[in-house]
Amino acid sequence: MKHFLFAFFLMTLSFLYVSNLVWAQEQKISPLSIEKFKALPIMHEGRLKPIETFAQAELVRFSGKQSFEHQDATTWLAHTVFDPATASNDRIFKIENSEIRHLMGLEERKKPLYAFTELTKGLQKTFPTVEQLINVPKQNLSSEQTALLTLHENALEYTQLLRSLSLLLPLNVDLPDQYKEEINPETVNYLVLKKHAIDIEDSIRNIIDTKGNNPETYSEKEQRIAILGLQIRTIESAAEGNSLFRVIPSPINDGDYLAPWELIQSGQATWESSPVIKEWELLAQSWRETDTTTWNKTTQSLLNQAKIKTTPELLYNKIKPFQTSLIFYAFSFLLALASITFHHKRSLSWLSIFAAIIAITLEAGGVCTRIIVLNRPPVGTLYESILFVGLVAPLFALLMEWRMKNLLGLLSAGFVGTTIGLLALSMADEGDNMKVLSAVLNTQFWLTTHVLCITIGYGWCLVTSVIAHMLLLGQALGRLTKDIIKNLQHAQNTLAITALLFTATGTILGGIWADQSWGRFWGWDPKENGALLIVLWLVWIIHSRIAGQFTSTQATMGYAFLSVIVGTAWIGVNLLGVGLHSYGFTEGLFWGLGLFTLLEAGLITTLSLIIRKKTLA
Amino acid sequence: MQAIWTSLQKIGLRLARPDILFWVLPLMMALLILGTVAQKNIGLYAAQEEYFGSFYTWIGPKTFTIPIPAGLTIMGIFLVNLTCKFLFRSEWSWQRSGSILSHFGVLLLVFGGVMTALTSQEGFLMVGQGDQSNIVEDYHSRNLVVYDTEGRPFVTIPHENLHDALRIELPTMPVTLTIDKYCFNCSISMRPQSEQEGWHSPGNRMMLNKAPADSTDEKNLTGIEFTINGAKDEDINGKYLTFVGFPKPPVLDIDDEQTITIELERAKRPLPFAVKLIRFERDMHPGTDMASAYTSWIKIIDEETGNNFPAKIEMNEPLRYRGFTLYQSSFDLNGDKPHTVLAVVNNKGRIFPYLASLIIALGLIIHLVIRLTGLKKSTHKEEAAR
Amino acid sequence: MKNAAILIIFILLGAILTLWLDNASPPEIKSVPITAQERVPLSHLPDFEITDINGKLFRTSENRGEKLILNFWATWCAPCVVEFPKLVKLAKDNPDITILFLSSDTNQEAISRFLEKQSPETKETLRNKNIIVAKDNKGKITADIFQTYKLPETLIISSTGTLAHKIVGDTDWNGEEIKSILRDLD
Repeated sequence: MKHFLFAFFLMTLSFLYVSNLVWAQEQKISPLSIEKFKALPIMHEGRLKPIETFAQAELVRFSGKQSFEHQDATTWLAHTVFDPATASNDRIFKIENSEIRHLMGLEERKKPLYAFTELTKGLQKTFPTVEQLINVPKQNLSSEQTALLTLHENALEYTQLLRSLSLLLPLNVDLPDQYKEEINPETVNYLVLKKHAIDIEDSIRNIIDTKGNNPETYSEKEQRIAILGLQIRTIESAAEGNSLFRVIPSPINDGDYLAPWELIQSGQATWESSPVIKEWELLAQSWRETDTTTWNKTTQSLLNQAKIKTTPELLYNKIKPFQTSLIFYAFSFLLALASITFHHKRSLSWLSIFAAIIAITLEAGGVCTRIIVLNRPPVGTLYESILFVGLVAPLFALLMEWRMKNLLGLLSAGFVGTTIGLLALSMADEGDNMKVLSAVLNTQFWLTTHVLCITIGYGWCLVTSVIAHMLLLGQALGRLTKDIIKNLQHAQNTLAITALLFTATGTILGGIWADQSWGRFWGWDPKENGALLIVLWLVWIIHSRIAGQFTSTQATMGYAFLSVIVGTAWIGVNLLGVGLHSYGFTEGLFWGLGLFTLLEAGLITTLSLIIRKKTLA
Repeated sequence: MQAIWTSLQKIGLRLARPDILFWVLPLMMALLILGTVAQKNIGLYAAQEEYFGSFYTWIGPKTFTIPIPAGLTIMGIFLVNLTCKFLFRSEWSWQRSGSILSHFGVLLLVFGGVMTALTSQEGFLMVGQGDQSNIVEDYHSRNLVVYDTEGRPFVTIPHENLHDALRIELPTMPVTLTIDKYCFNCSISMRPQSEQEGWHSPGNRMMLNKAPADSTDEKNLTGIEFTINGAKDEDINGKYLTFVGFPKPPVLDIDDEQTITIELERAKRPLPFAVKLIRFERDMHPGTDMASAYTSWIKIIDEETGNNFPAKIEMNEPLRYRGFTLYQSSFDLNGDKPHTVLAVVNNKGRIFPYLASLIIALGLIIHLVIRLTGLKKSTHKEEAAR
Repeated sequence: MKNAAILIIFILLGAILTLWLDNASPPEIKSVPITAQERVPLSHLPDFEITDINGKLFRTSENRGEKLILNFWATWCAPCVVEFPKLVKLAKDNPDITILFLSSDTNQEAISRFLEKQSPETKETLRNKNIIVAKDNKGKITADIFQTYKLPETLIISSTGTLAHKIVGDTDWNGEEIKSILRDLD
């Protein structure tokens, strides 16, 4: 009991410490509270999300980081849309390629971050090159050319951001006298001017008729009118097709959200949308004037009108469940190792279990949140399947621990949780990784049955592989008693059959899905072949062990090699770029997988040779 | 009689031994890897045919290829092994029931695969909004078809039989067609001035060139350049070209009464009923260009049975009727009206994977349960013995 | 042999199932649904008042319970000018619908001149009680309330005061689509 309480106390302490690290608020520069603004919904990449997710995705896209100069992403975004003139001096464009920096005429800095205003000249200069590059197929481009293209695309996206609210931000104009009565020069914006646009155009036409096209011949008054007309047209044409900042709910099409410019230009505005535009005007104004009362009132009002509650996703962003759980898995692994080393010290093993449980709970919460936010089973993309396996594999390992009671299951849980957590971290999509699915994957039933079954199967396979590695390592080091070996072997064999159950059923379910959707049960598609490979491998080892063609150690080697087989089937097949499951070639992934295969093969062979020597001796 | 039966049993028992499986499985796994990697270069369809749909294939560098057994051989041995095991070496007992069931399930699955390979027919049906069609076009087979005056095909030659210098005599007509150039995949370029002699329009302005086969089989543009001899009107004789999807196939008046049309087309099969497209819908994820769903609202018009009924076909939800299954495969929104492309499959072996899956899953579950509860039994015994 | 029998039985079972499914009756769908547009339950048309070109005051609040077509136009807008007489004819054919022509012209004379140039039929119909022609005051209604910045735009309001349709740009007022919209209008 003492041990238990002590462990619990230590655990809580460390939890609080770690959580403070992860969840601490970024230092605020602006006195305005971002909390409610973060929660406002915006339509982006096919789904409604909180502005915070959008801000983070955009900032990561430009700068590679989720914060800017100690401000969180949402503050940066607010600054960009409400105060574009100042914001365009923010150094947010990361240009890592030195050739590109040279091409754009940029100065060298410790951190290669540049402001948009510094890039404009270089962008203009390189534009003709980019025009040609657009027509070249992607695989034929060098990495420099791709980097240049990406920079231009990012710059374009950034200009859309800058101009998102240009229709309602105050303009610095010299108002001609006849308008000074009706228009307040402090608050004049495009929308106000547009009402008088026809008048202004008429005046300009008269001026041109009487004085011709040369502005130098105009009087000061006439010049002011001409400039005003030009300003209106410039703002309008610059905002053509600006549909990035989709925060205004469409009054005409339910569920659709529009960018302010899009709303005005497409004619979808009605009397319902004008108060909303007015509120965004107020937001911009209160931001620039740091008017806390109006800011809070307006953000609250907009939040009340929001049709969805973005709280689950905001919580997810804050807690970062899959990064936090990684830390706890690492703790759990180290504690389990320590416990084993120090003769199964109870306090350490309890701590380890707690850490593992916290990690699993975090992951489970993360997965559930993803289900709620995306409204579909949590296994639609490769990244999501990694997250899911990262949840179930440690769970299965803990189950084995419950049966074996020798701390090796616990050790496996921590190990598997950490490695898969690291894998997920490296495979995470930049920016927003909660994606909507294409039509063929857009089916709740088959995602739930086939994909879940296969990923659970992968989970079992990985745990089998870890236990097998432990058997090999333990026997090679001479650290395992006969009883433990027997225990582990039995566990391993049960795990293997369970893995076979899930992978075989999952593969067959995949075939049935294919039959229902495309008319053929089996098409020798790379992903199908990969899944079959796992099944055949398991069948081969299981059969050969039972029928006697493989010794116990050889079977264990086979099970240990499952890690490579699963890695190839799961991630490797995507490298081929063919078939229904392809996600495209990533060079790093290819070499990583190859290296992993070699290392594993080397490790397993070496361990088995050591064991052989030991048994012969 | 008894002797024959005994020797059969002996053979059967030998063929049922697990050592065969021990060697077959790694071969199959190696083939899987080879056949999958090959798809990157030669495409899915070609790799399927070469590695999985044939009895043997060649591997190795160009100067030193060696034959290896391919899908049909390996799966054939597997099937024999599994069948013999089931027939000769599977004594039913509670302990082994799970295992025997799963094996039986796999046997049914492979048998279903054989039925599919023998009876399955795939193709696609493309129909525009408001139109109806009952013609299913094959994805891969192409034919050279010569149509007579009434529009009936009277010469059909599959593309595999076409080659350069092939001379085709048209029955009941004095005309011969000689293929000068056959390309499975053609690229089109302008015909240089110097070579335009003897060509009929538009072959005088464009020419076909042999191009390497595309890895996506359906994308290959098959075409021929050919010479006509023997027409009554000397102007009709000369050089022509045609290819799959050519909007103006050569139409020749070979004498006063007969007109022929020469076309290269995908092999066509009629369905016993017609499909009319009433409306095609595509939903997009808001603000993106990614489709979230496709739906075809159709009407089946079956004159043979008299069934006329409306139906909905969408992604992941096909229509099954009279042994045919129609899937939402693709669409074309480029023309004056939307066209839907439905995949049409006719497969007599389609029920077996479903039967087999149930049996396999059942067998594995039973085996696992027996094993888990069996362990408890034996640990109790062990403890009692101590 | 038992197992041989089992095998044969299952193959036969498969064959029978296949045959049975081949001849099964098709699924029941009664008819193809007409595409339904997802409509937002909208709020009521905001009340405003406007003085028509003859000086008479028109209040939308007094028009409640009546169907309304609100057409934003101007004499300098070419498509507006083309569709004006067609809309007037529509008003004549549908006396139960009020049509308010709200112009963004800055100058009332331009409107009067434009109306003078209309055909005698149109001028006659313009006297009908269900037609109101008015000039907006510096976009206070067109832009500020309705957020219309491009012309023409037309709002079709049901008798309950909610928006039934918004037509952006000009359209064929005599066409089938408009006819069916007006038929369904309650």
